[in-house]
Amino acid sequence: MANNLEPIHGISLEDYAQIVIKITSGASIESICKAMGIDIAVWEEVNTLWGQRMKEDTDFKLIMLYGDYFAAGVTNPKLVNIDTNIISAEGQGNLDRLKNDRYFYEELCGARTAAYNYGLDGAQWILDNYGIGLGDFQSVAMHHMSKRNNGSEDIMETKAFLDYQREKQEEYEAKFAAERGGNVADDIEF
Amino acid sequence: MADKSVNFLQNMTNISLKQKNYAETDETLEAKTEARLCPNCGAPRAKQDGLTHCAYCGYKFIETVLTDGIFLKKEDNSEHV
Amino acid sequence: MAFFSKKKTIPNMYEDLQAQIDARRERWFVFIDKLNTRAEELYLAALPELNALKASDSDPNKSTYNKVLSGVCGQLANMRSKAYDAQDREISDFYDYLRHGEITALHPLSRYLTEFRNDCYDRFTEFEQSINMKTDKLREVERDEIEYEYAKIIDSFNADKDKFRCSQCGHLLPVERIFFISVHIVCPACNTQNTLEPGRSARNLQFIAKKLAEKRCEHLLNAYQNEIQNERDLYFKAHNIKLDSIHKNDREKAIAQEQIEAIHAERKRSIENAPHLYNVYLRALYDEMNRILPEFKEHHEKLYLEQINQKGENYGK
Repeated sequence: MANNLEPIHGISLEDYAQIVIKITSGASIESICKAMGIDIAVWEEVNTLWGQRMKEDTDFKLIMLYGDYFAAGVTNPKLVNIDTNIISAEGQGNLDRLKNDRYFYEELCGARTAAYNYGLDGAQWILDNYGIGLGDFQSVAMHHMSKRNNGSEDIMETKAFLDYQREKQEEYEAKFAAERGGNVADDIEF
Repeated sequence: MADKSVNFLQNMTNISLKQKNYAETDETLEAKTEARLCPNCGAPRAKQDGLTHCAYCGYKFIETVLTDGIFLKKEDNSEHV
Repeated sequence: MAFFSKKKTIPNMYEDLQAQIDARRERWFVFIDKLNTRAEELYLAALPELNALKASDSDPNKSTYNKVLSGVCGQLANMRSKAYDAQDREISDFYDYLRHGEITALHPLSRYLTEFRNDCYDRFTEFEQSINMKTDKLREVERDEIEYEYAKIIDSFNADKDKFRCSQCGHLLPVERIFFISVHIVCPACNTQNTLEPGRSARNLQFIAKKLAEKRCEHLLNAYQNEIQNERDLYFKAHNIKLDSIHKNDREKAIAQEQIEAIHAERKRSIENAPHLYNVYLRALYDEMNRILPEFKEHHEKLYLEQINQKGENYGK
């Protein structure tokens, strides 16, 4: 095992990815510690040190692996049944679509960027409008990214997706601008 | 046309203020200290033989094996298991 | 593009074409000036608004402040991209149209057309720099406050360190340094293992360490960047002397050549000095980070090596 893949205080990268999914979906740190048989001091070291290893990961091997684990979702029996925020039926429907409909995913990515450009928290905007929390969204993002990284998506497809995202971002920006009485420089034309 | 900028800022700030903040962190403002009693024998957790197990009855406070971390070190693993 | 597509068969055709180019340049300058004025207005209106938001926001993450800051930067970016799109459409296309039509390379207005395009591009670049400067300044407010943030952490640590007591026997716990994550601390009196969970202030230490070190080493980064700029300036200085000397006599050309050589010697020193200045900056930056967070020294040094190697590759080592 590569040095930077050694478990930290007994928590492997796979465990760590699954814990992060749980926490970002609303699980309490306490419940995670209890399930994994660690305490808060151990968890905070684990969290800090895996974060550092990712920053040091210049060839992106560790990050890609983390992405794969993240995309695979929570399978560890110790973690599976930990309570998280309950997702609404509508949110669940949107979440399924986010995973299966890549264009929908790109649209929400574009919308999220547009939201930030217009003074909104993009993560909260997605939660408010689609009922999808940050943890679930990131998990789907990792799922799509790992497809890109493992080569099952060619460069033309990637470009098409990014163009679509850009197009959607502009649409949402126009909408957000209108809600704020238009952009500051809308009246200035060549 | 300075109004244009002022109006936009006003509108944007109002909308930003209305938006809820994402997942407020539950971390507390103040630091605190805590001691855990052993759920098995009731003794306060002591650091005699590492800190992963109860020094009195062997109950596992920490089930994983500690590696060299930031403040926690391998030596903190209790010897008797 | 109708107004410049009419065929010029009249004797003053060059003047007419020239007038079209002048008119477009003028229109471009007016457009960019208007955008620039508006950007300035937004910037000046946003500064006090952001300060007020920051002061009144009780949320520790200053969420509203950050959202509005991001929105203001979004508007500045919107103006920049508006200018960029217009440049594409109204300047580059116009240039290409003439360049591939009436004003080919040997046309008497060929140089005039090139200058038109350069003037317009330069005006856009100035505008873009002014937008970037505003964005930097808006974000700088945060950077300037970093020493203050650090002082708050230290103050809060000094105020609290003699208050941590063993939850079993009440004895004072030895808290000798800032713990920025939860730690186990053993009670010196009863040997009970306590867990200290730091408050928000101490936790913040690991998140501000890099920004704080950057702020403290800013002067060294500036020295490096000034050297890079110095090299560019010298290059253009020599280039301009060369251009000016083209139509001069041999004696003047020889003098120009001497000047150019002197400048190149200076430029060579500058090129050699830049990587050195960068290394000085980077080492100082990571030393500072090690001072702020000694627990992360190993991690910092890995990042340092990586950054040195990357820059080394860029310098063609």
